[in-house]
Order: sequence, then structure tokens, then C-alpha cells
Amino acid sequence: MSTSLLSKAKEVNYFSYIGIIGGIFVILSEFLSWFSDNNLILIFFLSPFDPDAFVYFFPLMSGIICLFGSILYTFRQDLKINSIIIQLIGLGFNTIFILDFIVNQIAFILTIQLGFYFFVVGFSLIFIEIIVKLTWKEEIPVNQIEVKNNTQIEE
Amino acid sequence: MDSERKEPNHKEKNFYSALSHEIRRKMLKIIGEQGYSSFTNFKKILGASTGTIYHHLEVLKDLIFQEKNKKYYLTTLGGHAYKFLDQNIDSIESTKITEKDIKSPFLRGILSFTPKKMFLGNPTENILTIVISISIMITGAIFAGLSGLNTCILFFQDFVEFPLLLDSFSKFILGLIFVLNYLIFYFLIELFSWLFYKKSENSFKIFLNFGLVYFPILIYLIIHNILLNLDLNYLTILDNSLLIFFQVWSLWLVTYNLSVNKYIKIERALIISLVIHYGAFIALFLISL
Repeated sequence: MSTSLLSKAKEVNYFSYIGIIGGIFVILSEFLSWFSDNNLILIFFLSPFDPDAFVYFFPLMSGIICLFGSILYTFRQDLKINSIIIQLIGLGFNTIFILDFIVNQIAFILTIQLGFYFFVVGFSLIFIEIIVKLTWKEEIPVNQIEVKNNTQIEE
Repeated sequence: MDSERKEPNHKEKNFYSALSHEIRRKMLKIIGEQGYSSFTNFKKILGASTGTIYHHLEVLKDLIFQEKNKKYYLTTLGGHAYKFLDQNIDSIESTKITEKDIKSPFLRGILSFTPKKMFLGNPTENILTIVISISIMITGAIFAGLSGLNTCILFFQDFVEFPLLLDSFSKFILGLIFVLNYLIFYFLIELFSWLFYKKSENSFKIFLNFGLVYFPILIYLIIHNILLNLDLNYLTILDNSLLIFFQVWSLWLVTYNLSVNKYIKIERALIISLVIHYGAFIALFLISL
């Protein structure tokens, strides 16, 4: 089973791995410090009375959803539109997180740490993967087109 | 000459007859892409027998000619045929989604929530589409005002900390901003379709049914308003998740609408939707700063 999955993955263009790397980066950003020395999970537990605190989990949720979308495309290229819609949902969490959290923390922009960079790079990689996936011309070269009934003359 | 008089549509008939067979279309594409082709090249690429190729060359005699160097080239009509094949592939494939994509419960679910008939039909004949479209726009504007939300295409942001305390004038302005965004979104879609793919057909039709695209957003605004009135602030996570879900649904409706009415491949329509959506996100981010 695993061999067949790996062999399928090998047929994929390398750009599809961009999204996987992006997803991993976004997940990792959750466990790294952003504007202070605390990572997002720690901030969540440090703010039990904040009704918006759940937003701190958005990068993790987004990363997992996007990673799933990328992996789906890696093994099932025929489900391209599905994987893009899944990644859009994932990126949606990121956009909300940016608008809700980063905008309020912009005063601390000079103290940004590794987590923020991981998040931005991951977000960009996922977005690039979606655009590349959509613009990739999947034209079969003429010499690889399978001609059916090539011996049968139809008129 | 005599035979042409008997059959005035002789060239037209030959043109469509030439395009009616897969091998002949491929032969035209081979010459169109490479400039010329030899008989051996045809044989090698198509993997067809000598007799088959000779037969198709005979049918293509108005579209292909052979030079003294034995190579085949396109005639003027052949050039038109190649251009026709190359340009129309987008229109033919505009609504093509892979069968496996459709078979997946995920996309099938989304498609079942897509008002396909309303997007495909002519709104001027089906007045219901226009009525629904305008109703969505007006109701959306009312709920955006009541919820105190500032609209930016498909994104929303609280205008003030306590939206329930907003005065009527501010609510009216927020409703107006919603309608303005509705119109801006439509114009951006038209602009990008023209800029990226030179597609300007069915603009009025899209304008008339554009309200349908905002239907998911209207549902979100209603739910948001209910949560706001019930003072369920702790349900921020639900509110945000719903916004994401309805945004994606709206984006899908824009993409589908563009694809079926502008004859753009679904992937290309998605690019336009994404550029506008994330453009709006960047704009809102910069405004928030």
C-alpha cells in the first residue's frame, strides 16, 4: 500500500511539495514564539478569560487543513479543484488570524521572532502552490496523445 | 467551379468535416504547433498506418498543402481551422470538472448548493433571478448596517466595538458600503476577465445574477446578527469559522458564474476570484494598520 502511494507521489511535479512545506511551516509557527517569548499555545492557556483566545489556534488548524489539501493533490491529481477548495478554507483561517491578531500586535513588529517568519513563509508557499496549480498547463504533448481506433477509418 | 456552384457551402462543409475526426484535428495541431510536418512525423506521432494517414490527408486537402520539399503546411483555411481549435478549447472546457472531482462527496455537496439554472438561464427571461438578486443585495446591506460591519468585498470588520449602539446614520453608511462593495466586486470581475483572458461576453447577464454570489454572505450576516443580539460573544470561533465557510462558498459561486457565462476554464475563473479575494484581504489589512 505504502509503496504504491509513494510511487504515485513520485509522478507528481515537484511544485506540489511547495504546499506541503508551506503547511508544515504554518503548523510549526504555532509552537514558536511570535512577538513575545511565548508561543501561541502558551498564550492561549495564559488568557483563559479572553473569548477570542481560540483564534490563537487558527495557524495550527489552517496548517493541518492546507497540509491535507496538498497531500490530497500529491496522491490524487484528478482531485485538483477539491484540494484547492480545501486549501482555501485553510487559508481562510490564516486571513482571519492576520486580521484579528497580527493587526493588533503590529506595535510589536520590531520584536518579531521565528514563529512570525515561519507563518508568513508558510502562508506564501501555500498561496504560491495554489496559483501554480491553477496556472499549470496540463497539456498532453501531441506525441503522447493516445489515438483511439487509429486503424479504423471513420467518415 | 461547376461543382462549387452546385454546392456553395463546399468549403464550409470541408472545414467542419476536417475537424470532425480526432486524428485530423491532431494533424492540424501538429502542423500548427510545429509550422510544418513530414509524412514520417505524422506516422511517428500519431502511430497510425500509412493508409489511414493518406486517407486523412486527402480529407484535409483544403486545409493542408504539400510543398516541393514533401513537407505539409497549413493553407489559409487550415490556419483558421488551427486558430479555431486553439481558441475554442477554453469555451468547450469552461465547465469541465474532472469526473472524479464531481464524484467526490465534497464537490458534489458544493455543486448541489449552486443555483446552476439561475446562472445558466437568461435573467431577462427569468425575472425571478433579478428579484432574488436585488433582494439579496438589499437584505445584505440592511444586515451589514445592523451588525455594524464594514465590508471589504467578502471580508468584514467591526466598525466600532459595540455595534448595537450605532446610530441610524452610521448603519445607513455601512449598508451603503456593502452595496458599493457589491458593485466594486462585479466591476473587478469584469475588469480582470478582460485583462487576463480578454473575455467581455455576458457582462449584463452576470450583473443581473450577481446577487446570487452574495447569498452565502447574506446567511453569514444574518447568523452574525443573531449571535450579536443574543450577546454570544464567546462564540467568536463559530462566527469566524462560519465566515470562512461562507466566503469559500461565495468564491465558488463567483468562479462557477464566471466559468459558465464567460466561457473560462474553471481553473482560470478561480484565479480571477482568488486575485480579487486576496487583493481585498491585503487592502483590508493595510487599512487596519
